[in-house]
Amino acid sequence: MGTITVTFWGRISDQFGKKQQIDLKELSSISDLRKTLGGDLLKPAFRAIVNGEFIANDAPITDGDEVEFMSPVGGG
Amino acid sequence: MEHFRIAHAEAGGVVSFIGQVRGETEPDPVEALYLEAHPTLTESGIEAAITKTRGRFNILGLDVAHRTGLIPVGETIVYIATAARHRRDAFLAADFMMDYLKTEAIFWKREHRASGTHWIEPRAKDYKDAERWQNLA
Repeated sequence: MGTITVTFWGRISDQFGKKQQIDLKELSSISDLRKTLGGDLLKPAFRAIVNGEFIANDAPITDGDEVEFMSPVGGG
Repeated sequence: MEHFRIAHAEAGGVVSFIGQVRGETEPDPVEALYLEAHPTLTESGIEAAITKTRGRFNILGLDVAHRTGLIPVGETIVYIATAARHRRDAFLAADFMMDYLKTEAIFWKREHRASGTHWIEPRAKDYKDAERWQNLA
């Protein structure tokens, strides 16, 4: 149980907004979170960060985590 | 730029590059670019690229400044300056750094056109430009 904060960078923010607070409920991994939110997050090109570190899809998520999803970069 | 040049008096060449928002006229003109950066990863990525550039080319100095937010057509997006004892290193280092910024730097870019807005990603030509460095000593 508990909540996480999820931030969306780049074009994926058009689908999910800039930031969401999400109840963990039965969510225990980044993979679970991707499946729940759906959309472009099902594509691996949208990389996940937890508490400042790039992480694997099966990485666990727990109460209070700061999760970020990054769209493919656009360059400067 | 003048400050950078004076700070590298031992250099034989100083190269500077300014990238600006390109104005396209027809049929759906770009009015501005919006650039979004990550609060920590963008800067750490650029710092790593500066270290890599310094390791690859014989340069004395490298300056990079990149804007974010909404930037109208004709305004500066990025500024790079390099200083080296010999001009070739200064030219190459600036070109190398610019290719990193165009293809790998953590920015998200949205075009604002008369018809609306849309996110853009590097063009095939940008990736091709960046690939050149794999074949160069």
